[in-house]
Amino acid sequence: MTPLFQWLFNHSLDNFGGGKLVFSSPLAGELRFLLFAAAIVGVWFLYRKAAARTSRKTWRVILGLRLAAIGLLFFMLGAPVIRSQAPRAGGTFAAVMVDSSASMSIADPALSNRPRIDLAKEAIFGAGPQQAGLLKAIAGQCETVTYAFSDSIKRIDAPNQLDAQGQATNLFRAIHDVDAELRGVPLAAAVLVTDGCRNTGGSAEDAAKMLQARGVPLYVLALGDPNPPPDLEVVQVLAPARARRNSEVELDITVRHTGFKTPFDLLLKRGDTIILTRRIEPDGSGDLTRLRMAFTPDHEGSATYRVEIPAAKEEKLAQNNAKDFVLDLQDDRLPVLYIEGSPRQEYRFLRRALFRDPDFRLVGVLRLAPKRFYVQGANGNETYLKDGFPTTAEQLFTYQAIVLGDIEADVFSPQQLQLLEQFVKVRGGGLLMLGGVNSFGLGHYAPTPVGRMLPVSISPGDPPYSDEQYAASVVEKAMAHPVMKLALDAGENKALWDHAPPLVGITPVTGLKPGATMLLERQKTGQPVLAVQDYGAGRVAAFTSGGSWFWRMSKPASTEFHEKFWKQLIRWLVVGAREQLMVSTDAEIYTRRDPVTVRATVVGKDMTPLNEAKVVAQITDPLGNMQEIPMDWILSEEGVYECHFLPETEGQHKLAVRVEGWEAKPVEKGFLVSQPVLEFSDAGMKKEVLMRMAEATHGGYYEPAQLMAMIDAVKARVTQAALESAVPHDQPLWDMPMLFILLLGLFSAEWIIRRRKGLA
Amino acid sequence: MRRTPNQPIRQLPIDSIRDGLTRRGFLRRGGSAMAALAAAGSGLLNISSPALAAPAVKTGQFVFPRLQFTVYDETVDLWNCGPIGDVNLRKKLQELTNINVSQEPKVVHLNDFDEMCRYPFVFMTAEGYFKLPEIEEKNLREFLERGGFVLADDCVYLGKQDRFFRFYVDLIKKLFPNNPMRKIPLDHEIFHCYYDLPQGAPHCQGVPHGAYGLFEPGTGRLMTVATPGDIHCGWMNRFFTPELNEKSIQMGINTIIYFLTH
Repeated sequence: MTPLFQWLFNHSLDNFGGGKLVFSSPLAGELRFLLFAAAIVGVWFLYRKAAARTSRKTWRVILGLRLAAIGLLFFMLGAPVIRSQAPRAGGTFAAVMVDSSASMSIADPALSNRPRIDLAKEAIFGAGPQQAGLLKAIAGQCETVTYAFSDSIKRIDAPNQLDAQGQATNLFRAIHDVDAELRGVPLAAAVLVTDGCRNTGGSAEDAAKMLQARGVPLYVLALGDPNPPPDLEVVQVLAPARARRNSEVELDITVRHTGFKTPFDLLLKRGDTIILTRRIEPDGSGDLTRLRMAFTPDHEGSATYRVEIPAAKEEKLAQNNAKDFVLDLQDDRLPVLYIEGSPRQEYRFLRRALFRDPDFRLVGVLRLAPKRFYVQGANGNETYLKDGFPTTAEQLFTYQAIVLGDIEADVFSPQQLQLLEQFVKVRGGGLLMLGGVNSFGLGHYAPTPVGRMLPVSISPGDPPYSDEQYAASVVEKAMAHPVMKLALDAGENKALWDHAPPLVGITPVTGLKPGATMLLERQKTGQPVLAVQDYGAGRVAAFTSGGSWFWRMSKPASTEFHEKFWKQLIRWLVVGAREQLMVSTDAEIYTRRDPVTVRATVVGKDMTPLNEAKVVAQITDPLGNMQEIPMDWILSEEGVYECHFLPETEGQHKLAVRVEGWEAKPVEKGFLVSQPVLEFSDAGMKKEVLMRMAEATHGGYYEPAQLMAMIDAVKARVTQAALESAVPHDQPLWDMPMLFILLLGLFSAEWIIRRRKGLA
Repeated sequence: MRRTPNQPIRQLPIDSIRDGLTRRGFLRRGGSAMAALAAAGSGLLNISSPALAAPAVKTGQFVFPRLQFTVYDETVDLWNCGPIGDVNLRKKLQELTNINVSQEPKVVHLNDFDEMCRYPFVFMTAEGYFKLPEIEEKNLREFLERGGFVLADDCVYLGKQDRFFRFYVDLIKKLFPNNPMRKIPLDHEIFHCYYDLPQGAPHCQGVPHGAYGLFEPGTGRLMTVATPGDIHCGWMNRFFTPELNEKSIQMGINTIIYFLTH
């Protein structure tokens, strides 16, 4: 029956059921109808005489047969086709992305203590004959492309290529790269197998939007426990990369104590030596605690420190209990130039405060008579100071901070005052002016560049210097300012300032400049005593009293109130000071084979960038292997040189950068190559994020128990996509043998009747 | 910065006021009498040495106070002897340096420690042994450690003894047992920072030990200086040769310059 049907109609019965009849003739349907009507009228006209020669019944039969034949003929001339939807050549695709970052190695108690990566392998590649994986289930429905991803993507085709060794997780980049790689491919569905622990790159939701824009649903198989067991974690350690010798280093530390209510210890260690211990008592208000620890490093050069919480018994994940940081100690002394108008006690005590600290190199230039200066603390290269203040940029830029004591502006030439501005603005140095009868407005600084830089407004008409004794207090918002923080504990610091001895003497100024910050004010009158502001690359401070020495004499010798205040102020002022050779790396801690970019900025003694220096980076790995890498000027930035290094060994690396031909010793710093610990930070499964990703793309969120449901959903989706992507397929009907047989039959029947009735 | 003044310091004609400024009067009238006498003395002094620095800065006024303490042996000159020497030194300091010197006399006591700390430089002198109560010894040590400075000059009993000097050196040894006073070398800055004194502190009379100093551990800064040669009497310009008087004034100025710069 079927072959006969197929012979008669040229197509199978299914074809007729799955398609629809369409006329594909180029003639418009209306025109075909008019021609058909004309043919009917013509046939009726030709057959009207025959009606008289035969019976009316016979006439109607032959007329009907002729009209049917004409109709059939017109049907065939209309080029009828069966139009059906056919799948596109090349089929559809599904992308499968499997997280292979280190966090996938975590075995969650809620998931039978099996590593997440093992569950992922089974879900995708199957677990023996009994359990088919996703790939096998949809193999006949579409093409699949499988990727492993961590901080980049990699095509895989076997479960052993999933190793959970990735050093970071970048969901955004994984989806972005898959989307880019499969551009132009009819992607029906994307499958993401992950724990959702994203710790680098863009937002996962943004990645989902890329798929949404392409109409690709994302099916997420979420692995891991969203409610992880009790865990202690050092989340973040903010530490300066460099510090000065004998100066206090502050660490801002964030710890997470999920599920812990009992106190625990936080340790600061260098090697096996415990430097500090802090007891943390969770208050139940949240999982995170932020705290500050301070210590004074005593090592030379570069060293790695560790902030660590000893693992508790109930902890399942101890990899996130510590964080390392590298600290480079500057062993050069901070050069300060202090010029004073005459011997006075403020000079003695300020100089004493800095001189006692080996971190400072204080050079004093004290005027004993007009054009006669007493120079203290200078080295053999600073003989020019016997004539007073430096006259060239090369001389002045040797220092990082300048202190102007009670000395009038007329002592300086216009060029020296301009140099002072360049010192702050370009060199990034710090400038401090002290109170006195010949400073600020009274010293005629108002129309000079120094007047422009000061954080206080001054004028020659300011009231005269007052040598009265008065109390000064810290402006409320300034209590936490680095200059004013004489104790780590806020309450202790406030108590120190509340009980600070009075000051003696003040130079009245017009007021505070907009943008300046007042740190210390005179009680009752609110007159500025200490104000600071940034100026260009540097910083400027105005201390309007000339009697801070009274702080020193009024406090017990065992206290460091006066000394600490001045040292902190000077250190704060020089934060922006540029060195002739500055070296940085793009991070302090790397993982193995993570490229290290070393950058050096080289300037001359007058701080102009040098583009033709021969700069060499020397890197020594923990095994003592030394490598010298020439650094190249990067062209896009003046005086900036770069080189790259691929670390192969874990441990502390030493970096020393030198400029060939320079007498100065190389600038040294360190960096650490270590195991990734970031992956184990907050390593619970991120259910909400993954659900939002799935919802945004109209896909689905599944957990391991729902694996089969996910496979079914993916199958349904790729099938539907295959249909949606089909193209129209026309099968002509005009040449069906059945039509010719029918046409022949109609004409033959009509002819036979006419012959029999004698009409032919 | 070593220097030699352009002109020598003249002998100070102060004999005319000598009888009017007795030790007992000073003790009785204290600071107010000293102020009046200082004003009177300055008017009588015929000092023509030019100021070496101008303009003098008026801020942070330097006060030259005398320390009051108890001398318990038979010597004549006690803590308050020869106040005219202080007056003369202040005057010369004002003339010959750009230090803004207060001409007001001032007496401080170790038992009024807070008040004493307002004057970080203190001068003390006497001829004989003296006794400090325990609290004052403690205060003296604290004063020096905070950054205060004491110039102790032996007024020399009978012109050839060193009672005060030795007692002061022993006292400092008691207060700083691990860091006794040592002889100040002749190339030390205190002998050259303003006037050049190649022979060190002038020796007017007494036992020529040379000047002793307490050196601050770590910095080497002088915390206190003891002179056995009666430079204070040199300031009075009445007992010794003009050269010794001049050197005494120079040593006093050098000590104050050293204090203000270290």
